[in-house]
Amino acid sequence: MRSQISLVAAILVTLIAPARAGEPVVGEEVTVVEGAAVASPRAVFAGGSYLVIWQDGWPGANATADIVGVRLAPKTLAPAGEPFKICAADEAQFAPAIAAAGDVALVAWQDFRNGKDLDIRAVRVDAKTGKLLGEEIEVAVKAGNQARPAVAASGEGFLVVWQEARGGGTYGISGARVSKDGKVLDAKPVSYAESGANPVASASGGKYLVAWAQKKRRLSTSAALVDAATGKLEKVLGGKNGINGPCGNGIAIAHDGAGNFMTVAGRESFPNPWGWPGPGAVLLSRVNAGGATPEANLDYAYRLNNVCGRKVPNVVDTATWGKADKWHAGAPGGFKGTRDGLWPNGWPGVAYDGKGAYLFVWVKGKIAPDRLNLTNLNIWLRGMDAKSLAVKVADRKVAAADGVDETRPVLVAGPVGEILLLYERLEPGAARRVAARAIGLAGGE
Amino acid sequence: MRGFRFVATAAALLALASTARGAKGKIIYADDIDKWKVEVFAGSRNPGGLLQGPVREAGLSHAASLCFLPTGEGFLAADGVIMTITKDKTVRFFAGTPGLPGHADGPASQALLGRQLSITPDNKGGFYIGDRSNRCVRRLSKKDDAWVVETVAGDPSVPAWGKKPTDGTGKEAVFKYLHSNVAADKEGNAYIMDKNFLRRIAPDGKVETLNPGGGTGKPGDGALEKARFSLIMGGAISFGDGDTLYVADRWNFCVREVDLAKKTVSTIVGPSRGYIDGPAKSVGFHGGTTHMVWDPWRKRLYATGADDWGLRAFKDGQMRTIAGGGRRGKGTSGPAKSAGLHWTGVRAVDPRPPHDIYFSSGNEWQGLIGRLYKEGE
Repeated sequence: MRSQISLVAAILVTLIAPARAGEPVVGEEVTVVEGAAVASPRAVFAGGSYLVIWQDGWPGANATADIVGVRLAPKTLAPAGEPFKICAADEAQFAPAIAAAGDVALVAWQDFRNGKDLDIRAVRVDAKTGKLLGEEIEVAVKAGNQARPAVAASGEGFLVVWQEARGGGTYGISGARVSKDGKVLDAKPVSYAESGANPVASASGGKYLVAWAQKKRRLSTSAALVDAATGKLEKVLGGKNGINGPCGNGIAIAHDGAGNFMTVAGRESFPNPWGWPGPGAVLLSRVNAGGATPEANLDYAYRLNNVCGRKVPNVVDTATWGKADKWHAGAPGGFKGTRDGLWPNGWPGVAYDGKGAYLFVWVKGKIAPDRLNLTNLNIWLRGMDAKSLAVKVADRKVAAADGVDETRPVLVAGPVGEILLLYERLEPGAARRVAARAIGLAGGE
Repeated sequence: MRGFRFVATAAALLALASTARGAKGKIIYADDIDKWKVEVFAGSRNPGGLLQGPVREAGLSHAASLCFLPTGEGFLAADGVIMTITKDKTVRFFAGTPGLPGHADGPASQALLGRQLSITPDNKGGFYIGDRSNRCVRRLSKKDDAWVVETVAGDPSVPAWGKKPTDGTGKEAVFKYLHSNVAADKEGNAYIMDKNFLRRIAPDGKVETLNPGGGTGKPGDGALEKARFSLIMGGAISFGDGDTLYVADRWNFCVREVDLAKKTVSTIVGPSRGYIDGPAKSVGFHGGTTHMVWDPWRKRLYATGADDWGLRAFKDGQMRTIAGGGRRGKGTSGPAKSAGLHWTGVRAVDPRPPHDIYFSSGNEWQGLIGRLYKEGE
């Protein structure tokens, strides 16, 4: 009984405690844009401001969706000018991605303007003014689907990666470099993987890290290092389960500027009244300079068997079943509730704090009384040391309005001492916003 | 915990034993099985979730329900969205917001749908959606040239835990757990199995329980009013000819026939366990009868068990395998007899000649919709 009271007290302290000294300070929520179908916000810090982009519209039949952007000042997140259209062609342009090389940002998106299949198109944007630079760039426009782009910038130029239909109903991961002046340098895209989906990319230490979701034993994260100068595949990373065994949804990457990368991936909860198929999870996996992947060979059972005792440090979050403490956390178990009543729901984001630690955000909700859905989705934050994976910032909510779902967060490294949190805010009745908060880091300006 | 693990282990052993029994089942192939072939109709091996595009490149996620219109358009219910397959074989989102399951009515482009859905045409050019995740029945219809989603019956904002299924109109009605897909009759009424109660939903949202004296239990023939079923986490319904509604009674391992005019129910196939073809009374299903579709053109009923290795047809008192059936079957195209089917679910029959049959399956078929067709037709 006493332990239960302690547990409840600990949970309450976790939920309501303000940031302790030395911990990040999460700013007030700022509405970036409201709209019936605003979604998929992304951002980069360049030219002294955040350039935030999103999809405005629904990409389905009988509708249109455009790519829109706005610049936000750091700290206050006040808009620096009006929102501007980045692409408003026929049909749907959606799922945008962005990176910046100096003051030049490259925005890429998947495009359904032909009404038949998806292509990858992009345009450069002057991050200082928000003006489009030059013509639209056809990155990948051949017949068939080329979908879900991601962009990374090496300083000299960009790498755009996407999932590409390879015939026979399969998808692989392809990429092409784009120069700062808007030329596609790889007329024939480079293949990074024969199978995979939902790629992401980041650049550090003269390398690009490309990661993607792959169906191994379960959905997992695979990754490869790519030479930034040539765009050639250097090394496929990880073992039989990729670099992050049981998680492959919503992969995010950050780096420390010295060639070391941090990846994080999630798994959504899928509750039902009988406890199957179980709660979600968020797992990190590092890729050190040179390509070492310390977490790659931990197998699924090992991770989950040991997570109850927090013996596996790369588990950012997963649920522990209530009344079944020794059952594998995060594993389906036919139980009806989690120990703290919360269910991790994937969708992680990550950013480097500039001082040896990474901040992680992810989505977590409560299970509705009928145990069919998650409700009251909130965004949680944790800080972890890059080397030891020790928890430096304890788990806490950073976006948790009553009666509102906050979901699909993104973290963006800002000026020294600041990280931007972007997310989708879903009001009752399906009204939507893209919202943002500035996270001030201890010791920041 | 030790006890729980023992139970789990025992359950696993039983499942293995059940598998072995199924493997020893009795397969009788249809006389014309050599003329039937399978191929992939839709979907891709894309682990990335929902994706639009050419039908063989689309991401269909957990596509659980499929229907076709006489116009040739297909409609899929998958993981919080309704997708359409256009006549030129392009998959588009049609309603719901990809990646954002929930409950919100309104324009199809803004509506939120639950993750577990089923869909069937109504009699007015629209559709009923069985929204298991939100415990309600919804309608997708065209109003003023725009497609709109509305909740016809049930109120997901009010928890049903601890309540009984309750009749009423619109929000007054309480649904508990929608074990089956939704089906509709010619008058535009929707039907669904809700916690082993057969519920009828009129176009105005009035919900009536057709077996209020029944519920969960062993199959017994007789009055519909007291009929008992055993659908948990699976089962299906399909309209036959006239006033006949078939129920895949999963954990009773049989198919029930409901005569809605006479208000009676009878067991027409099974009950038995294991993959067993043959005369009606001896027919078995491996893992319970989970999917079923009536083919009004060939006058036969397609049925699949949860763990069956094949797709079967019931006609003239005999069940016969029309695709798969052998545990060593492999491949997603070629002769139906050697198709590698497992955990197969029959989904739809195309109303246009030659009335191809559509199914989902496990293993090599994950994320794909298969087409079963007769060569030369």
